[in-house]
Amino acid sequence: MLKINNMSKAFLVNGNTSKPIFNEFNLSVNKGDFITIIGSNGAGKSTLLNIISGTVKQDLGEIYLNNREIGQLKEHMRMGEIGRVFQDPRAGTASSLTILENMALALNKGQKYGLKFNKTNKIEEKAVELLKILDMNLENRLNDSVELLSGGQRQAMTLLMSVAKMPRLLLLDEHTAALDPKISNSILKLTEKLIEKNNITALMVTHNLQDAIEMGNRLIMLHRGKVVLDIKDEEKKNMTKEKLLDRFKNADDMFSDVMVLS
Amino acid sequence: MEFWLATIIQGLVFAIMALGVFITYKILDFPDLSVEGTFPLGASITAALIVKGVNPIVSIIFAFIGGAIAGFCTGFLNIKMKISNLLAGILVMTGLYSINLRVMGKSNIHLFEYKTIFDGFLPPIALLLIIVILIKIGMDLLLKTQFGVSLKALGDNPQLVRSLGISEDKIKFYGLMLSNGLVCVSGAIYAQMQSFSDVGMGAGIIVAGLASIIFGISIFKKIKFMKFTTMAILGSLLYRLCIGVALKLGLPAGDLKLVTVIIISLALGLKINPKKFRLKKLSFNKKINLVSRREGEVNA
Repeated sequence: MLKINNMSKAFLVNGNTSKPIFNEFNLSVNKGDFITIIGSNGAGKSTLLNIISGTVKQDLGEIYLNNREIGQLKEHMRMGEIGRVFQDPRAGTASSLTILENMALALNKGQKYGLKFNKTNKIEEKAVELLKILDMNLENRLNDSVELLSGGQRQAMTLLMSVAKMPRLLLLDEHTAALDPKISNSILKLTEKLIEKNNITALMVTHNLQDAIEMGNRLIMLHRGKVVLDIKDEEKKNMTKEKLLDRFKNADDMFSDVMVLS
Repeated sequence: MEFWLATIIQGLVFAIMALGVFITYKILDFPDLSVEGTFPLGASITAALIVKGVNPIVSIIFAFIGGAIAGFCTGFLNIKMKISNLLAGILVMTGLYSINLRVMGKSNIHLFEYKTIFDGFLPPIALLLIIVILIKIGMDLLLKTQFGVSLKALGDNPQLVRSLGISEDKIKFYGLMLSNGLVCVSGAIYAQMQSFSDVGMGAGIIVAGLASIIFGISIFKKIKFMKFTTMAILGSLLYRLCIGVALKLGLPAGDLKLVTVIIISLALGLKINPKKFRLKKLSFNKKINLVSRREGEVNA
């Protein structure tokens, strides 16, 4: 499904020293996998998602999505098959557009955009159908500007928009980190529901150990650009936060404070 | 009376330009200075073609194409060569000065003895109203298409546009081409109206365009369901009327640009300031949110 082969990436710091993030990194994701990714600050979690989506280009190595090399494609050319939700709730929607216009943009994704009308009756029906899943009464506010929505509502909408066209791969980059705990919880539930219902392959970066253990079928821990832990299915089900912390007791920079405390 | 009629006619001609500037300044968030060159480009193209015996309407179509090419150049400098948007506009504007001279062959052309679109049976104001309304409706429709909505989304949130698999570059190119095309059409109609084209007639056009848009939006934004395009057109009319009043009051024409600049600065500084105040409040609230969230995390 998704395969990353021998990928290396270094960033230039202060213009001359190069700081390696990944060195010959490999990852293979199976179809239907829902992987949670944890790791300390600077472990490369967000960079990994940025490299997959093409926001940042890798220095070396290949990325295959469904046996197609996408590593050299521009961001917009590969995003047709990838959905993405960012940490910032404002990043996934266009604030000056209405709810319906935003949904229509997402529902028209992958089509050749042109001079066809953005919102047709068919699109509106589909948008209402999708918005009903959220149970936030957004389906009755179709012509409201997205600006008027709360962060949680916007993030829920972003999530909906990113799965509207059944992406092959969904990238979630700490998508609940900017929300308050209660809303964060309901967004996570929604995430699970949408992913399970549509059987989407997903990668979710999180800072919350508990969420990482409870959600998904596979857990990956990154440290300094390497996979230091990769557990699946049964093994993952038996994993607890204490066991996980215990296992890496000696490497104290592996967990950030936020992770331990959450 | 004739004076005010002429003022309104001017307002309508410049409204087309304001609609063009609106696409870049308001929708794309791209301060495009190349319009200072594309406005006289339109005048030059139409004048040069009419003198050669080309139909005046056809010459306006050529002006649109010329403007679109100029917009493409600005886009190329900014998008492909990564030159900042302001500088890209300045470069194209400067380059167009020479091109305009080349197009006309000299620094100005009179069209008094040639037929223009204003020599038909319609009175100029009716003709211009029809043109402006047609362009406005066309733009409103365009902004409802998939292209138009992506254009609006791009000015808002480029990351979203890329995430949706839409080429940011392409949309920006089209936006710039359309914008400069409209400005060029405005210049062409202006030249035909005055029966005169001069290579220096673009000076201060961007300020006039911005003034129209800022006027229109700050005065009419409270009115629900009024479209931005309508605001830009009304803003252009208002701006011309204000200038008319200033002239009637005996202000020397040479001072007008300075007055406009002062008015725009005040409008931008004071009128849009509520946003600034809101921003301050917002950042303050954010801090509180952050603090309480952190406390929440620790407690949990």
